[in-house]
Amino acid sequence: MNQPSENRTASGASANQRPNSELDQEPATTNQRARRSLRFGLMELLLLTAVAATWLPVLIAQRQIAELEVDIQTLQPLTTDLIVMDEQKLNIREVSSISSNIKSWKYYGPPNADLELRFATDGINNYSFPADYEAVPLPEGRHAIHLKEVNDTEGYHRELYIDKEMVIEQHHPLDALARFGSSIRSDVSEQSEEYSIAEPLKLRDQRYSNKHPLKVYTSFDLPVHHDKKGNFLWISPRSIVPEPAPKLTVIEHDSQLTTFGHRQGIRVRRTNQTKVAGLIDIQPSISSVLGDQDRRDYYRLGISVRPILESDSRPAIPEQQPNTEVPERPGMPISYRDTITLPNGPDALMKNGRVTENTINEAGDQMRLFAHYPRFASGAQPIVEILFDAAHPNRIGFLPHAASGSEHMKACQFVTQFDARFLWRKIEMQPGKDTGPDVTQETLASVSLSQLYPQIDLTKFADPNGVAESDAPDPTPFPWQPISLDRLPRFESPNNLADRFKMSLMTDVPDSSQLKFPAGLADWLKYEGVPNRQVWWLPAEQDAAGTPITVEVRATSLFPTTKIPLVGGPAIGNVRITVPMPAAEPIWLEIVAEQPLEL
Amino acid sequence: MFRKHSPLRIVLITISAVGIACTLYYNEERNQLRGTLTELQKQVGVWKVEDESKVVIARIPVAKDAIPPGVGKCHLWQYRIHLPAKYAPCVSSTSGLVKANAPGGQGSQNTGMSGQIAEPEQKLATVALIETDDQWKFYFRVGGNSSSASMPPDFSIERLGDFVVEPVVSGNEIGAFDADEAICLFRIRENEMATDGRGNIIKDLYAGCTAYIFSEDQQDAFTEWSQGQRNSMKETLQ
Repeated sequence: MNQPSENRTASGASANQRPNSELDQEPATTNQRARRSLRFGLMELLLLTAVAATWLPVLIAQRQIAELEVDIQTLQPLTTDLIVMDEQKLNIREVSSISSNIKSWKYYGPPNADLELRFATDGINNYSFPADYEAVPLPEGRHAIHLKEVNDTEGYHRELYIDKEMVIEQHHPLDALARFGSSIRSDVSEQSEEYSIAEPLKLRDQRYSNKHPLKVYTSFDLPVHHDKKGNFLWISPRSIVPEPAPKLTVIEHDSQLTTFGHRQGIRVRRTNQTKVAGLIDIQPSISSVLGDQDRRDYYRLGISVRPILESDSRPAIPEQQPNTEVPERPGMPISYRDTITLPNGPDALMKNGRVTENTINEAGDQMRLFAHYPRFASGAQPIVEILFDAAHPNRIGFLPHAASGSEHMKACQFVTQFDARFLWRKIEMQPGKDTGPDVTQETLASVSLSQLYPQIDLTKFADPNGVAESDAPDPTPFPWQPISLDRLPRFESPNNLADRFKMSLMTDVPDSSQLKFPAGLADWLKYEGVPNRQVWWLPAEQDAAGTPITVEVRATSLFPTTKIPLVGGPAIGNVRITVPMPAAEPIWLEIVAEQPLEL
Repeated sequence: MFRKHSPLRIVLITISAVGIACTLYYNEERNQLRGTLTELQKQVGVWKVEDESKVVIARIPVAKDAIPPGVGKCHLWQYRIHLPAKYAPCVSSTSGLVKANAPGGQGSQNTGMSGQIAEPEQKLATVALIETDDQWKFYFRVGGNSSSASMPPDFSIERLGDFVVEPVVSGNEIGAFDADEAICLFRIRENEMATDGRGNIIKDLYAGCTAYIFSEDQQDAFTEWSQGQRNSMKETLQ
């Protein structure tokens, strides 16, 4: 109780001393004040008790709340109750279903949230929510959503209920959703949780695996960037309209693999994992090779680009050139770029090049990039412009250019590789000369290899099962066989573009699953997909001088890169298109299924 | 005068005031959660697992809204199951012809497993018989693991009283089982043994369905038992 007077005394002393030694005494005065301020008395003790009394219940309550939350989380999935935690948000939980073909959710929707319940069975991809969907307004308040799936002999039936009222009913024919298992994801669990009303919320993202088109009891998954079928149910603000997924894309799958081209069509693959470099690595659209397994370290189909100088008798082969950067992987490394000119600076040193979304035009329907080759020993240095047109998802275009400083090229050859695994054995041609531009499918005829090589007995080359006879002669290389453009059907092009010749290679194997491949044949050489065609669309007029494009094919009796005879005898092993330089119009390659299936 | 403005007091008073506010806030939250828990317990029952190493099962009353729209005739049983730590739930169901006191039989058999659980868990088990397009289907689900099968075409469950219905526990019973037991969660079968197409009795087999749960490490014993090769496991149904 004497503290106040002591304080006053001390305070007065300090005041008296200040005029004489103000500088020396000031710090001591401050410390004294601080000590007085922190002095602990009865009142402080009472207040401290009050602090403990007010905070202890908080600590106890927090501990009990944690225990209660665990208990609630344990029990909630056992019940059908929805716990509404925030009435300004969307509160929702999944409810355990009584059967595997009915999924149920309970939700609370805040007033005036303007939400929709949306449902789609197609166009499910990783880019955005499906653009094609059915929707109903989501009632506010507490309600239940039920999705019922019934698959029977008549097809696939989907019924969507809000409470007891059916709001969406869909029936799909049996072949529309040909499925074989599925993967399921959801943003919603069996615990009641609150979600923003400004963002879409996935209730069910079920994506079907596809049945193998030829093999029974076998399924396959479409690539992640592909549209899939399934059941996609979500809640969305009505104002949000999903963006359609792009038709043309650049996808960096990982540090070793990038692909570019049609999202759901033909693409170019850039990887260092193939055993040889120097080829443009063509990945046909999934629908064109449906059932064939992709192996990232092997080419499905490759294009070898070979420049020809005036003095060349034999053009250099890029895939056979030594690789100075990676000696164990022969072949010229191709650098894919956005631009025809290489940038200055460090970017120019990038081994694999760089391809970005800048290669796609603003409308998103055209894509062009450039394959830069190192300088060949001859001094030639080609650059191949690679083109994609969204209107033709199975086609890829090539337009050769000369890099600045390149020796003058007379022509550029495009030679296909690994064709033999597809067992293309016929070429579609016109039966006679000059049937004119009005060509119809009915007037075309299939020309077989034996007609192309009348001087060679093809039957002597291999057993139909692909097993060479022990006394079979060593296969000699087949000569290149020119294909006269006059024999190819000619198509008029719209929009004043040059007319085009069309060359189609066809297979005689209707069902590759019935083939018996020879023992020891590597899996990557076994084509087990749907029958398809290799088609070339070639401009009828190439350069100002009127030099025509030339087309040749060469048969082979062996599986590519092996000495194993082809199943069923020789097939076309390579196609060679020689494009006079400078080229003005691109040539287009198309791999297309004989009977495309809807995926 | 300055004692009234002591910073320490001001701090303590402020902390107390905040504490009072927090106490009110957390009490309110606790009360809400207690109310929620009470509501949930009303539906699934209040029970304490005495022995955490056992599989404990209790019947749950079926909620009014448990049967969704689009479902016709339906019989439904639901159980709350406590599974001990390190239990690897494996569910097996048979529909068609079943035995009266063992798993297996003739018809559709489904087995599913969902991996070992690290900590004790409680799961909801649902057994449903649903009529769809004049045919009864049998659904069995434990947690996220489910199976379904069609019952024989002439198997119609209009009145449960016409059948032998054997749930693992009835009413308010709570069953506790060792973790190495195969537990028959549910069996429904006809009273009389099934007959073949010529009217001959098929010995020890009845039209119906069964649903079992056991830990995956007992799968070999369970398989042998269901094949009638071994009697190391016994029926849990009394």
